[in-house]
Amino acid sequence: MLMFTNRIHIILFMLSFSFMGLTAQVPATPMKDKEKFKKDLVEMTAAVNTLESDFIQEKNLSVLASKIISKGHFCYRKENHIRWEYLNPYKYLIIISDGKLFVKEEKNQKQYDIQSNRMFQEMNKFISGCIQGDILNNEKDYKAGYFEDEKSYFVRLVPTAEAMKKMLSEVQIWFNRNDLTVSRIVMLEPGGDYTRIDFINKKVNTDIPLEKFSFK
Amino acid sequence: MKNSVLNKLLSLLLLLPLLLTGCSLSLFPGYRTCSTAPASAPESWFASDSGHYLFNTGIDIYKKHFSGLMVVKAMESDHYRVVFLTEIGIKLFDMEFSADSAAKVHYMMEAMNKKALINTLSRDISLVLMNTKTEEIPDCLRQRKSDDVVFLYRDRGIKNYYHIQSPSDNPYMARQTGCITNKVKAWLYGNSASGLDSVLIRHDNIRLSLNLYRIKE
Repeated sequence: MLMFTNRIHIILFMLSFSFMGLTAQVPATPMKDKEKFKKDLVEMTAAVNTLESDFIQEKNLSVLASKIISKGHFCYRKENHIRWEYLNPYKYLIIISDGKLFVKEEKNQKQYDIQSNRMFQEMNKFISGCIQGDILNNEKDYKAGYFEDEKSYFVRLVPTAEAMKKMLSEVQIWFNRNDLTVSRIVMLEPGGDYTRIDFINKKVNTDIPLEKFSFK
Repeated sequence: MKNSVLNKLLSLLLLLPLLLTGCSLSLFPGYRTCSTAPASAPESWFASDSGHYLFNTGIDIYKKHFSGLMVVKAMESDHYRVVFLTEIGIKLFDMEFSADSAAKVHYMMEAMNKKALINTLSRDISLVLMNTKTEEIPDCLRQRKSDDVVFLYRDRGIKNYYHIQSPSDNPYMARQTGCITNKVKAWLYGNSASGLDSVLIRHDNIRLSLNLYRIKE
């Protein structure tokens, strides 16, 4: 796991945890009522106690003819318990719970105290912000554009800081129009490479035991 | 006072042979010249027809640990592209290696964008890629202890040694030495049927190590 010190890196790192997707048809019709969308999103996330989903991550590198596909499972439980697990073709687990962050790689595992580290504090805040929709209010770091089509609400976040722009040209978030859950997130890089994460088999307010967020 | 000066002079005289030869410990790595050279030099594990390799990778630099996925792609004309990403897809570096020029940095994340680190990583990766000059003919050596065949490539004061156990093998160990001491060793594990499985790189003089475990996609 990366050990970054400056804020841009923190934000970038945190972004990578959020729920993602690209290159499919991007909704181009401006959202008719973005304030209502934001209000509905806040209401929806307030009603969500748990959320779990499988995800498929697709990394597209221009130097490769094929994409790097990885799959895993994501769990969230209020307040601020997050489990992000890669299962195939490699194993990698991130748990954020009770002010601590736990990372388990194939041959290595580490635990960090979020409160003692500004980076982890920011990360925790960011991930929660994504789940609760607060990220859309971060007008300081991103310029947001709101769009929609018959299936999705679509938010395009363009980084405003120069250092961030070198790493990411754009972050795209798709929300399912029916239940406002995030269905896809895409991180676009300036050179055209991108990471897309699709969320499938989403389940809201199921019983996810706290043990899921245990470090043991 | 006089004794102190004499002692210093004596020390310098003892070091003189090493200074005159220009190099030292790495001159005596326990090799002897081949009596009969093998027909051909060993091939890189990353041959041009091998598609791409994906590795679960950990890089430890002093107290910092970076983990992620390393993609190695052999391009045309002995060029290689090496991209290091976090598991979650954030690019850490993207470099291009060719035999006849310095590594080209397409992208380097700010946290790793230090000249010394880039140079060291470039040399390490080049060592493992066997990214030697195309026209260079290596010296053939034999290790005294194991009788392994060792191919030595020289490049501007740097020596790269590649150890093989039989003529058709890819290298199982690579070692780079500078003028004074060993710099870095790399162990390459795999077999001819399934190809390269893992790579471990260790430095002698700095706390830098790389562990690469291949992911079968």
